[in-house]
Amino acid sequence: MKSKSSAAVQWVFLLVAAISWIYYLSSGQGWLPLVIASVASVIFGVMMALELFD
Amino acid sequence: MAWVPLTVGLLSMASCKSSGGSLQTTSGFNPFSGPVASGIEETLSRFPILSSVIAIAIVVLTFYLLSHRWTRRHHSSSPGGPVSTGSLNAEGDSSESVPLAEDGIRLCTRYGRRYWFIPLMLIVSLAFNIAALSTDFLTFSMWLHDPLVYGLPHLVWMMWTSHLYVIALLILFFSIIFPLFKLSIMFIVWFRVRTIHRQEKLYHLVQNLGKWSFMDIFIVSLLLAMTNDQAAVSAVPQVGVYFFIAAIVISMVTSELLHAILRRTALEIGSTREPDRIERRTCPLFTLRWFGWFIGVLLIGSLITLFASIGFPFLKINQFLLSSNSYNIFETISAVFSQHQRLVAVMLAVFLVLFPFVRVLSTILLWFSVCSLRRRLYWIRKINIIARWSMIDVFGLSLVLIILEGHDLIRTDVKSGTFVLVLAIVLTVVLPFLALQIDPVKHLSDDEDDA
Repeated sequence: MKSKSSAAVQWVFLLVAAISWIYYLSSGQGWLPLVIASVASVIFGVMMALELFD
Repeated sequence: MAWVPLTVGLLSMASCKSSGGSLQTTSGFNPFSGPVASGIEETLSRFPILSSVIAIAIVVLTFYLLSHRWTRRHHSSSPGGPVSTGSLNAEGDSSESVPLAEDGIRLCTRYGRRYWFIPLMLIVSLAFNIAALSTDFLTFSMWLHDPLVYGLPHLVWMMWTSHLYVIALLILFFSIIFPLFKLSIMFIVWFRVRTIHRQEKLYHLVQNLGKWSFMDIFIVSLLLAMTNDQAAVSAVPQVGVYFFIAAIVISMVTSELLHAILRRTALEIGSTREPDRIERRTCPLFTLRWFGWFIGVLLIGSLITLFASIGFPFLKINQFLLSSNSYNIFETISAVFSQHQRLVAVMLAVFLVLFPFVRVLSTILLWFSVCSLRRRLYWIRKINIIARWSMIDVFGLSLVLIILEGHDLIRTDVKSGTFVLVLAIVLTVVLPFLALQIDPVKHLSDDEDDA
């Protein structure tokens, strides 16, 4: 079973991804929100997949 | 392990951003300052492709070195002890010290030397992916309007602000998030996961969705076709399109290799096995009787609708100042070819015509033939590979999106060919899948993949 800290980190990544995507789609400017959003989404997805098939 | 591709992704994105002159259209980011840096930037901006290639080469070299270091480290710490550094065996594997018949060994340890190019292909795909995200994708010009230059992320934003939410979210998921996610999962499967069960589960998660990343390439192809021979409007693909095609194709090829490696591993460690009485000759027509014949007739029907979908026009332009051209698959390919986009045209011909035909035709031949279980299983595996490269369903979704939400760019009318195409998609995708699922051989073997 995953630790609580690992689960917390996972949901933090989801939160960061959601905020970054909303910021990027509303403003459409800057590469930084895009990079943060993409990276956070992928890390969240990977952590989720690893937990799913643990 | 996910941090490894992602960290280098960030570095590469930064380097691509700084090197591509065309990037200035979508971002004002400029990390350079000073006369020397300005000179470098000016030189690089004159040769955007060269600068992208340099960025990719740096990323590839770094990751290749890192992956080799990783592989060596895990060779020495594998459960079976260190791998011999001596000569390879007849199959090219360094299997003298690693117990290949046991589970619980990483793929990089098990096949690191024979398939040394797998990490390299993943890294190259990642580099192309980042380059595609960082460079321009399409230039769209309309009479009395300034030319619009789109990058892939900019395209998502533009669709979102134009209230084309479905297209925006689909492109966002399949073109930006999913390719990076798939590469990360394949990295993890290769370098980190130990048990075959978990390797297969993780791999199957991303196996069949890879081709859907081509959706925006098909949208670009449709726009290219519709703007061909038009005086008032034109579309020109930029280098990002080719980067993206390269990234997805390399990722899909790597995925196929990984699939074969996982199957081989499963056979070696005995987690799967060939069915009993492998030489027994069977035919679904005799085994399934009337239902077998019913499916057989439907399969022939699917081949006919596939022929029809290529010839029937599915779209007609209906906009002031534009020629009212109509398009079917064949005309789309030839229009893209006349725009001097030969690579894209060849890609369309292969993925929309050749592979769907080969898939349906080979399923029909297999369905009506009497052959041994071994041969039948062999061909089912081959047909499943072709199915993963047959993209008429992805093209259908792109067409639906253009029809439903693309009228802000070019107004179009739906022609009867759209319904033929939808029917062809349903029959050519669902029926062969169904046929292979209900094939009696399927129930005798538990090592098959799903197309």
